[in-house]
Amino acid sequence: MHVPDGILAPPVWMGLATASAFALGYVGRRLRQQTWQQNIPLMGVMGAFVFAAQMVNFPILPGTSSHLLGSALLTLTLGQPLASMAMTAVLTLQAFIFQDGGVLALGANVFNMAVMGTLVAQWAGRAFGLYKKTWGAVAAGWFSVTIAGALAVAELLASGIRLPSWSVWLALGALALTGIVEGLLTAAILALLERSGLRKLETPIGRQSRIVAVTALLSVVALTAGALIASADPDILETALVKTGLDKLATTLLQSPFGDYQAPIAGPSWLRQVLAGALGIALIVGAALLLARFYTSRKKLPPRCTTSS
Amino acid sequence: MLPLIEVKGLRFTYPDGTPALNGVDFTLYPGETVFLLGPNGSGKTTFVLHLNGLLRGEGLVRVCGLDLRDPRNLPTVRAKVGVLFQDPDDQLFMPTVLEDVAFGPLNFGYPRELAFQKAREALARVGMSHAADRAPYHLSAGEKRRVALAGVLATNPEVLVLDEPTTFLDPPSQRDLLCLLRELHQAKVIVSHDLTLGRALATRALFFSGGKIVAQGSFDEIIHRFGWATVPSQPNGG
Amino acid sequence: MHYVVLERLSQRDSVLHRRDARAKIVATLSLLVALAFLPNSAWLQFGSMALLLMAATSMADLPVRILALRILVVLPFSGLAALASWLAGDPARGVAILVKSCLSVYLVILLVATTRMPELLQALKQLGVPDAMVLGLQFVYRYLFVISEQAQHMVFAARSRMGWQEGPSVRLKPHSLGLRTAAGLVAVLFLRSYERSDRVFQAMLARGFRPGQLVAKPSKLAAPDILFSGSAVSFAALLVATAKFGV
Repeated sequence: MHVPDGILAPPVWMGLATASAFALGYVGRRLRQQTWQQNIPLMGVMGAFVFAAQMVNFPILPGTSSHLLGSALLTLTLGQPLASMAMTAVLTLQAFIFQDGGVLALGANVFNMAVMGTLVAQWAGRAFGLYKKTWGAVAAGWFSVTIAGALAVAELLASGIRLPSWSVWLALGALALTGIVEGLLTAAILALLERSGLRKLETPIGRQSRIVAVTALLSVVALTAGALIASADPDILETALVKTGLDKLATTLLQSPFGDYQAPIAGPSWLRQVLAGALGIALIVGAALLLARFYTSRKKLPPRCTTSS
Repeated sequence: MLPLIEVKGLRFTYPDGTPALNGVDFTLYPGETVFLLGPNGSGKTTFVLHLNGLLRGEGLVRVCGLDLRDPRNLPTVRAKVGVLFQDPDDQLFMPTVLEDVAFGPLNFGYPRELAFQKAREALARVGMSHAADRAPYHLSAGEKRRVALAGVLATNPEVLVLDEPTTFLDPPSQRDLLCLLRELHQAKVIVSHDLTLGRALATRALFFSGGKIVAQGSFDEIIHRFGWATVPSQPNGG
Repeated sequence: MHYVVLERLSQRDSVLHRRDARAKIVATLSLLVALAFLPNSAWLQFGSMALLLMAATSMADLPVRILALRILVVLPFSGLAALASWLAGDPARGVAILVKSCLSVYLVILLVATTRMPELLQALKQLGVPDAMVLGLQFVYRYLFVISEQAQHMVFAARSRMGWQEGPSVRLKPHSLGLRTAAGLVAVLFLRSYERSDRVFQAMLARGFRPGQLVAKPSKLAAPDILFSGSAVSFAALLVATAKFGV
């Protein structure tokens, strides 16, 4: 899932780095308004915890083993802003110390796992029930892994790398399986944490914010699928649009920024794919950021559990 | 003589409802070394966290005449009362040893140069000058303890509060620490059941139980009164 | 642990080790960007980049074998991507993916093997990364070892009470545990880390921590550092320019 350097096309990693920087800047501002000084050791130590938790392996299928990825667990316990910062710190150190994930690709990896991974976990947790309910945790784990992985695949395709379609399906299937394990593990850990008396940091949510969460989650899923399809094969998108009768609308929409989808813009075909992918991703970023801003501006993190002056 | 620390009727309950302190009275004079004894969970660590205002319960806590209920006094008090935590890994969090020792002085507003000079002096004081540029993680347990102590000494405290200072240490390191502590002139509050340390340093000992001080006297007296230094003989006569 | 090897290498002394961390970061980034912009068939440029990196390795007196092994970490991902690309009928791109990602990792390894972690973090701060993020990175790096060791001990303790629970044909990895055991272990590790973060915060407060206190060490770049990053940037530009104009 950690995309190394040398694979993504420059427009893709540059665009995603910019998107991540904006998202993190926004999150950082929100944290600063709260007691950010207390959050620094929390973010650091829990980041180190994610590293360590990833060392604990368990078997899933004969011959293979897996480990927790952690963004859903952190989101459901520390809240999305802090989880996002902690995961960013983890990914940055992994890129430098372990060479796990590239340095230029860091923006893309942060986007997939630390920004979208945590946002989706938050929305899924809320959409599928309050946090204490097991299904919310399972969904948060499943979506955080699957969406992050699918985005990575979409970024590869958008970079003009041609992948056989069976390999894309294989990758998505493997992601869905890993997601199930992540979800089960996250739910099990949360149940244990709750039993051991860790006061929940997230308060129950109302019906309204649940609707927002469902909408946000659905649009991310749709946009990820759209990005995958558009970057894999623009023709599929075309056929689907014609069949559903949306082609006219789409043509008008697409005509304005890029001209006709069918008549290629000047340049090689991979460039067209990059543009299609970038468009999809830009849509996701825009929608997610808007929704995040809309949603998070109305909610404050409750204070942490122990007293300190 | 004016007391360095005065505590009257201190009560504290943790946010989850667990009562930890039920009315503690305590006075510390310059030159004293007071040992706090008592079973696990009797409130010793909770108590020492009140001495520099990290926890604030009901009741009076005054350090050098400054009332801790007034938050404006906290920075001064924290410079005057140096706390050595039980696990040095909790205390050594900066990338290098020197930066870690300079952390306190920098935060207490010393100019940069002076802060690093104080840090070097403190490292020399505990005999760790050679490790100034190393990463704290790579030190041995005894070295970590000494660096943590240097971090506390760097701000010239008047009271040292040490929570289980000899845990994790092998006998030679324990002996080194004992000699070092004996040379330091500050008044000390030490949470420890280490017999050698207590016999060498204690001027007085207090026994905590259920969040209260239930007895006080000399270190040996307390240890013997509660039978903490003896192993019961086998019931069957062996 | 394997990454400690690179950390040990960074303690050595050489011309490259002595360069300012900022200069090395700028040099690494510019070469990485150049690699990213090279077309798939720029063999001459790939070759000269490889030669440059090998020269840097010998200048920094780094063990070739260890570095070569570290470079292989990209293979699981890049290898698969390259293979897929090949199967989809684009072998040239597959090879280019392998070459580019290996060279990129080589660059990052050189940076980390010649720069001590505190200097790297300091340089990030000097280059304008926000304080909170640098402090966060510092803390993750600091407690990485402590908590990993805790995890290791807990895994050993769990394994030593688990007997030899291997299925007939399943060969478990050394730290492999059942899902339930793993969940319990991670939950306890979570609580211990969470409590530790509180104690760390108390230790910070006890020493008077206030935000905005940690300022970057003022240090000026020396002439050799500027020369070093300058030549790296111009080499990167040269590579891209020659590739563009068909040399």
